[in-house]
Amino acid sequence: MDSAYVLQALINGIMIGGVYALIAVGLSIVWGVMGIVNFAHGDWLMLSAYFSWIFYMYAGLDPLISLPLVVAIFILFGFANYKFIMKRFIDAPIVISIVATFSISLIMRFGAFIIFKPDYRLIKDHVLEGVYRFGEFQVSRAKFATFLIMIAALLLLFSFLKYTKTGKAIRATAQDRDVAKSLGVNVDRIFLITWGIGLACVAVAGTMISTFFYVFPMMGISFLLLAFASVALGGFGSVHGAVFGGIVIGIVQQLGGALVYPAFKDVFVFVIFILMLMFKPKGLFGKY
Amino acid sequence: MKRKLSKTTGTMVALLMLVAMLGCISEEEKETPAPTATVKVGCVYPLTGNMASRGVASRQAVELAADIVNNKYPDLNLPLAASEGLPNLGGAKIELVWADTRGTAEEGRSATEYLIINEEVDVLMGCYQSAVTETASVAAEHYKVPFLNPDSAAASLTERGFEYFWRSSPIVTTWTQNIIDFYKDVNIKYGAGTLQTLGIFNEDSLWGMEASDWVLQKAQAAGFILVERITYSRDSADLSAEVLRMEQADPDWVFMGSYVSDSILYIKTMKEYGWLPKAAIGSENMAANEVVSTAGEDLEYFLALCLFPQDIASVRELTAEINDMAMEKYGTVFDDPAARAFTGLLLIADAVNRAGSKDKEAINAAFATTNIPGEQLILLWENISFDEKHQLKAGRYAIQQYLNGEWKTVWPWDSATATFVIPMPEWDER
Repeated sequence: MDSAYVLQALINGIMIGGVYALIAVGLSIVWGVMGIVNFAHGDWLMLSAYFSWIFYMYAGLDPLISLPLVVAIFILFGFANYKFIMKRFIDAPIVISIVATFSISLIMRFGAFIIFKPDYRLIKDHVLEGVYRFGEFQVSRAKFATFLIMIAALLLLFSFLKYTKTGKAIRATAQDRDVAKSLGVNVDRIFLITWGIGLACVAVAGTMISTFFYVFPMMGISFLLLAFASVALGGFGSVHGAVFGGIVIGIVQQLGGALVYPAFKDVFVFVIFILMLMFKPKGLFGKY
Repeated sequence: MKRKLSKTTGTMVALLMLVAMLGCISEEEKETPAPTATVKVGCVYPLTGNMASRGVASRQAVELAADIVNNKYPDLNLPLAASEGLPNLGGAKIELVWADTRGTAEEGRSATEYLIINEEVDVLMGCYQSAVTETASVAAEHYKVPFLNPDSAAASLTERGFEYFWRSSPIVTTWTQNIIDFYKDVNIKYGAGTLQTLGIFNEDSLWGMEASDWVLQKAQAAGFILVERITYSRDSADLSAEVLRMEQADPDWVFMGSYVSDSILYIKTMKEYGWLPKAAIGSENMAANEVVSTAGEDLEYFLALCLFPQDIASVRELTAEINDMAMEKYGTVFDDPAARAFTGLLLIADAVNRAGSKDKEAINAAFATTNIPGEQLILLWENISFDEKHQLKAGRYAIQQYLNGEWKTVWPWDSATATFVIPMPEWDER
């Protein structure tokens, strides 16, 4: 087993880890600010991938072009999801919000079966088809672009949270909702924006995934489980923890699969998941 | 607060009811209001979940077969097509009752029990996936309801000594032998040593494991050398590690013991890595309509086993007529598993009709004496009858290669409609 093989597996891990990270960030920020575990997160991912496919099929828009459109639509979905559904569960026990998001998940999933049928959809001939070759290494263009867009999106998000007044209010709300409210933060508005950000992240991930993965109603489940593992590793509520967790999970999965045996690649991931829950339930960077 | 909670609770109840309604939709759905003289056929298939596209294709095929039995189609040379309903039961119609396995073994069993206990079906059919058929048929055996499986390949299913389980599809040992015979013939025709080493991708359920075990056993007996075997979950979000590892081993030919979505992802990932073996073969799943429509031109030069080679079958008048009907009704012709599901419902109708009643013991006994001649089949078999293990006696596979946007039969050589292309052209040479 030569070093090039190991390095190729490492590159694959970082690339796919970027995808997990992007999904995990959306999950983590909603938990961090509102204390809600969004079980429908994978299904929002599925829906955004369908939007990307619809724009491609019916408007001829490449996913890279439709990306801002899908993100804008999903910010609105995030607002609506909070305003009409999740707002009612903010003060309810956590189990209620879990059941609520789980119900939304099932409605979306089976709704997709009815509307889109169970067929697999693949976006072909987009601008990111093919691979980049660097000597003996190769990287899927789609996954490489996804990684770069993930970095850009997260830099944008971090800057927003760090430097804008609204971003600071979001962080304050995440730290202590009651104190933030007493200081004049409109917590309801912050929740609304947070849902918008959460779904915007998942929309970026879903649109980019549609360039290298088939779109179908159940696709969210595979990614959601890995996103949960990423969040558990990085720490619930920590955005940079989710990024770190996602990339580590991707690397563990790919190196484990390449060096030990592919059948065990997810075993390594979920062993980490269980160990974190047992010995460091807050995750590496978590506060909750 | 109290008011708020009660409002919350109300919303929750409404949502859960909606979810329950959506979740149960396939179990509640029925073809028509049940008249007294109908024969209820319980159909256990994956209508949602990862395998749903397969379940829906089977459903369309079974519905078309039921329509042919229930109405007069005197021009079709199919069992019971000329009459309306089942003549020996006073023209009783077939009523299909569907239950969703969601592609899992646990749901397969509970869906079957639902059909037996709640719907009181007279006979059952399903379930496409071997692992699901395994548990569903246990429930049927327990309640002594005849169960016809037209579309699962794991050999162990008919090795259990079940009294009420029948299978109208060739088993894995048959088609794995066909694969090895094909590759042995390739080495004879194209020169010894054309193909020496073998790699196996297999999904980790009963079917994938068993099929690959048989391929390996027969391949090694024929002198092929295994250089890599990769077991994986078909729900994987990414198959890069699997393909990378196979690329490292670089076998001459690869067997893909995969279902539909994983076949698509493998093809896409192989393209991503720019790697191909000299030849790659999948089961009939590789030739499923969903793989063709999704993988498109990337599927070129891949091989698939096929019980229902369209290029040969569609020349026959009967098959062409059924294809036309399917195209008109569903916008697609039948693929291999759909053709078998279609035939399965006709077998059930034939057995019930010959039994002359809805008595389950009589229906079960009628299955044992099934003998449908080849000219009444859309599949290219000599006939359909069962052996002492309730397994189909006849049944043969062809090997097809996807060439210029069509599946073409390339083996047996004397039935070939196109010349086999080996090695597969590199991705960047196409």
